[in-house]
Amino acid sequence: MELRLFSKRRTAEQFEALAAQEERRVYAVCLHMMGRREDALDCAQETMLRAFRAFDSFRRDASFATWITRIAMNVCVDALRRRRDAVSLDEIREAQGFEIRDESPGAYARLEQKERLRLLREGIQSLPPEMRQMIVLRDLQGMSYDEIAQALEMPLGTVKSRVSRAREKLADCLRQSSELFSSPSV
Amino acid sequence: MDCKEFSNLLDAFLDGTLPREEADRLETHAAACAECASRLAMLKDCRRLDEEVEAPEGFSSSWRQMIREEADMEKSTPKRRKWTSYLAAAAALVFILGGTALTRGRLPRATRPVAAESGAEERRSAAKANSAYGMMAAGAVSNVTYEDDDMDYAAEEAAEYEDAVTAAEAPMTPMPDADGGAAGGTREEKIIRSASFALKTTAYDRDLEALKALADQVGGRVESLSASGDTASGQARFASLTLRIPTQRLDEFLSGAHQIGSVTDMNEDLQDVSDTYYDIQARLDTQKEKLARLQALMKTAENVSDLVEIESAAADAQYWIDRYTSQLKGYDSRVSYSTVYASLREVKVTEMEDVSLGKRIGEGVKGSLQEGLWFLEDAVVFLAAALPWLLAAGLVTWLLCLAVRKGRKNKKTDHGKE
Repeated sequence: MELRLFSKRRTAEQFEALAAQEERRVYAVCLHMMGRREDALDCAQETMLRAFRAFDSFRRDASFATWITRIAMNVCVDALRRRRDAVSLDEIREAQGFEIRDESPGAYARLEQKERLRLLREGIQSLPPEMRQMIVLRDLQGMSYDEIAQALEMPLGTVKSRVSRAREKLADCLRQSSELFSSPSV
Repeated sequence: MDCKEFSNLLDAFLDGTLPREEADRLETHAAACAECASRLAMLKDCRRLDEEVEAPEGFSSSWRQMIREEADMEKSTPKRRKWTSYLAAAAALVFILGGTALTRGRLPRATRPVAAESGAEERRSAAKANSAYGMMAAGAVSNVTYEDDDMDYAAEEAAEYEDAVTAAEAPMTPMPDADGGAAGGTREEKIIRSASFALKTTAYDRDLEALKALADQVGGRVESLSASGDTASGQARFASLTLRIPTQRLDEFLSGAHQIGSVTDMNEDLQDVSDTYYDIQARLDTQKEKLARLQALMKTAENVSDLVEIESAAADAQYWIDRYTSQLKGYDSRVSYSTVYASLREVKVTEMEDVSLGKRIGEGVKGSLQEGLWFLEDAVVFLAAALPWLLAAGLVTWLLCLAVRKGRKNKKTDHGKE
């Protein structure tokens, strides 16, 4: 029993050392997925706890960053499923009385950066969780397709196709939003 | 470059791995295509979006604190999984050791005769053999067969039975005085003596011969001898004798037997048959007188029918004379010669030697190691024999766990839907 206790202390220290390098990334992933700071903080805390509890099963030869990102994604997807309040921009606009205009290519690029970033955040939040996590991992976190496939335990081809569809979806959202801002509504 | 090629090269451009020429071509296309330009801007903004994110104050310290608390909690409260693992290991060990210890006697033996029975049949046969062996080992003399003694014993019994029959069937003739008709005279007592004893000996062959020689010496004889046991197989030898010893020298014989071996049991029996003897004697005399009178009558028979009747009565009288004479002879024989039942049992002398402490320790350790090896061997046999039962129990447990897990999963899904 004494030997086991000693190894448990070392495991906590080891975990802290590894997790400290990834704490910003974990929080960022949770923020991009959840959209709200409070929810992101909760999910980030939950991610760290789950990762620590599962630390014994972490293979030392694998990437800790990929491994903990996967846990963060699972935590956020579970939280989003429980939340069930994610609505699409279309629904927001319809509720507020905006009409969906025809798409105008290039409108997003013509907006100011500050506005673009705001629209981008909203656009990402409007995506379904499965598409959102593709955008977050590939385009926000900059993970490679191989790393994403490893983290989500998906075939590489599936990852590429989902990323592509997520980007299309996001671009559509931004086109509509950009049109909304670039051309005032009636 | 067209839009499709632009889309294909976009990732490499954003990762900075696109060659310079291709990157220039891509940027040139973006400048000309608004859609692709928006796509490029969107993806670049995604990277900037992430760069702006900073972890809030307190996040770092809070998750560290949480981890330390979790580690301390697990230290003080052992994980249920580990506890159950130790318990399962302990239960398995108790099952193997206990099961082996309890069933060792019934496990298949290491050595057994060729074409032996199966384990179960062997147990049943062993149980029967043990019950029979137990009786033999206890030295029950009754289990030893007597070769000729049965006939003699039966003859004695038959003689006693005949006495009773004789008394019932004897013709009702007035009998003279039972003491043989000698008025005022003393009659000789008719006493039948018998004895039995058991001897223990360490020199079986010598003492058996000595017993026979002693009987011969006093004028007696060995009427039957039955022997059993085998030195080669380690079974102690046992002999059972029936001797006929002259009654006058019976005491001399019994005294001599004490010198031969260690007498463990001695019995003597006296049976006074004087009354019966002289009663038969009297009847015999009566029949003889009767025969003499009938023979005299035969000479004076007047006709054939009378003659026939007299001859019939004479034959009847002769029959009883023969019978009584035979009985008296039997009694005379038993009175003159006593029947002695003797048994001789071989015992082994255990030689004792002094054993040093070192030797005792060595033999003790060796014995324990050997016993441990045998126990391990038996444990393996026990596990193999119990395997079918363990497999069945494992299958049932697995099915139960599956059902429980499925039930919990369904419950979780229902809860999630709510």
